[in-house]
Amino acid sequence: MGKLPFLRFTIRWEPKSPSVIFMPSSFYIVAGLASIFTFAGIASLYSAWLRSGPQPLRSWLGWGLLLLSAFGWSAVVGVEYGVSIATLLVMIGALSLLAIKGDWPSGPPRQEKKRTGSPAPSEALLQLWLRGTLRFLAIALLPTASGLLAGLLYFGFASSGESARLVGGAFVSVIVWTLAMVWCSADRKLLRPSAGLLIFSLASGLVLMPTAA
Amino acid sequence: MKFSLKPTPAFVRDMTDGHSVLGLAVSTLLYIVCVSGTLAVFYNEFERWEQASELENLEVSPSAYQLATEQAVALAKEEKEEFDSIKFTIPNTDMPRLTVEVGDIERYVAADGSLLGKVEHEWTHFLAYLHFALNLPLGLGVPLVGLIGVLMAALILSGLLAHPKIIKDAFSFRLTGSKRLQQVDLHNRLGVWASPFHLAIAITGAFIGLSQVAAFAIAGLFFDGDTERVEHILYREHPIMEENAPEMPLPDFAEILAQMERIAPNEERTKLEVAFPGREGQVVEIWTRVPEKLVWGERYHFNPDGSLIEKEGWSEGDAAKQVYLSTFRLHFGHFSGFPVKIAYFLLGIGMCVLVVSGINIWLVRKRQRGQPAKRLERVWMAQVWGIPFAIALSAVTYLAFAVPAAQVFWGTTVVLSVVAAFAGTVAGWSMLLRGATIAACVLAVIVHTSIFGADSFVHASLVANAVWLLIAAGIAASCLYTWVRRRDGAFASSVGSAVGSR
Repeated sequence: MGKLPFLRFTIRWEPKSPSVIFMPSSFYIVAGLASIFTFAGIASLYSAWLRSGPQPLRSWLGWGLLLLSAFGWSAVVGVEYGVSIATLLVMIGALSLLAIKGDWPSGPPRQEKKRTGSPAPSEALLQLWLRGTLRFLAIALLPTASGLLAGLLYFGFASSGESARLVGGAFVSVIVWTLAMVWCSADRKLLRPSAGLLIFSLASGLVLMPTAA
Repeated sequence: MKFSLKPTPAFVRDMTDGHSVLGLAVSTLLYIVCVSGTLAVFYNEFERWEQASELENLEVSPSAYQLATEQAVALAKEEKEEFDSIKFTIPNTDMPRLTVEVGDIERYVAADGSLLGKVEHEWTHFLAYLHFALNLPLGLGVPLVGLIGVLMAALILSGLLAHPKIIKDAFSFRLTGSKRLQQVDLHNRLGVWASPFHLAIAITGAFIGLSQVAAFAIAGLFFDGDTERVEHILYREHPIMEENAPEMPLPDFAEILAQMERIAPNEERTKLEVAFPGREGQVVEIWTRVPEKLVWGERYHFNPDGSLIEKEGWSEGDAAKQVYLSTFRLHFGHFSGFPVKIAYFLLGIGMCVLVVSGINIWLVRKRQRGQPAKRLERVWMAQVWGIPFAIALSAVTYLAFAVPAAQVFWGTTVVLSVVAAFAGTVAGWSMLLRGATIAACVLAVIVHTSIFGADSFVHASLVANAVWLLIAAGIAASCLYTWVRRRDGAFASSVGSAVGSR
């Protein structure tokens, strides 16, 4: 077991060719059950969340079935593939349900409502552009510096093997970078994230300086 | 003081504004990366599609490697090609063709080991290059796309934080509402339900794209700028050949492959590389795919006599290496075969729709506030349909006339964007370019069939051509839907005016 060759799609009739390899019947039974659990779980969550008021039984049943589905897939294709496949199935299943249940418009397109408002004066627009440019620069520069420095700090000071520090540092870098971007883009007072990230970057730089080879 | 995890309206508003700022900053580039990435899920199929009539055969005898190595070395010497290794693609279920690469020469290999025609995957390489480097020089393009990955992760996070009623609205899909409500519901439902996929793609993409930057930074700070030292934390060092190393017989491929069969019978072989072929110090590496593991593969090193030097151990032991090497398959969707590719393709289309609906929401909101960005709306619409059109057109022109695909793609995209800034209407551009994309997709299949005949509808070519036709069918369905709604609208207004005139 292990490979999923039954899923490989090839159409060929010559003997020496990529061919469809059949899996044991137990595989199809467990995988089929796991898929049914996925769709039952989504249906249970759907019925829970569409009703007014809390529906703990339906909700927990839904989450439980989704978990069972992940266990089922993991049992037949291993944890790494199993969790990935179960998650993909949940996403595809939920989006398919939405597409089926969505109230697709059939008549002519509705006229758009216009809200009251007048165009902003040119001075306000100029200010808006200036602020936007500043924010863009802050988003581009400060999170980059903070993310990279956080990764370097992790690599320099975490107490694990070299490869764990390298890969961990890369992940820390991406996560700090992302969080810093969200902060820079969402905080109304741009000065706050700018100052915070600048201080973090400078402090990190000072800490890292003695370690430089 | 009462503590609550429920976000305040001010927090939600700030997050929404931040989400808009991030989205607008990368809209077109993010959309290009998403569209090209969605198609690149079928990278292997497109490579085989480009040369649909080449021999496909999973069974190759060890003697074929021997002869192919001899012929490839002779060819390289004849063409004065410098090389220090020979690489084979071992036929496997993703790429069931035996190829050999020496320096810049790449050839198909017959079952007996004799060299066949050139390997040419220019269009597929353009598509992949567009996705991971936007056709820019690698040193600039790869980090830029990595940065787009980080921005995407930030967009997903701020989008989720800006969504206070995430559970209550999970199944709310009000397409009959106003244009803005339609776009908001489409954007939010796609964004929330597919967020695990989006996050996985964004983080692994950022990780892959920025790893080189991180390696440079770490090397600069900790290893005196020695980037190879960083690389060797994850990968085994390559042997270094001594100058003027004496010649010796080629490796014993039969013994090496027999050893592999004994050591790892369940692992599918994908690559074979001979470092310094025919010279003292030569070593052989064999790459495999490991069952039940997301890691890119496993690597085995052999002496020329077939004795195992070592197994690199990517698939076991060091968890950090496993995590690093699992990012690739998770990002590409290349695990578990065809159904996962279909799921990635569908969710990739969802990601493209997510980007488009996000910008549409901003444009509709501007219009409703009485500040319509008409020029920007036209340019955006020209890009939304123009980018898939340009990709399909580049496939047609490459197949038919061997025109470089990158030039066709960027030329078409820029020209459409500039023209749309000064002419036409949003609806007009939408219909025109949807029609053009349908035509280009169908034309890609027609041109392919005219070149390869019956080979266009077997194996990977069947998949690739089906992808083109399904895209065309999907867009045609959307055109039909728009046309029916417009017809109903025209009918309703004519009835309305007729009733009003009485």
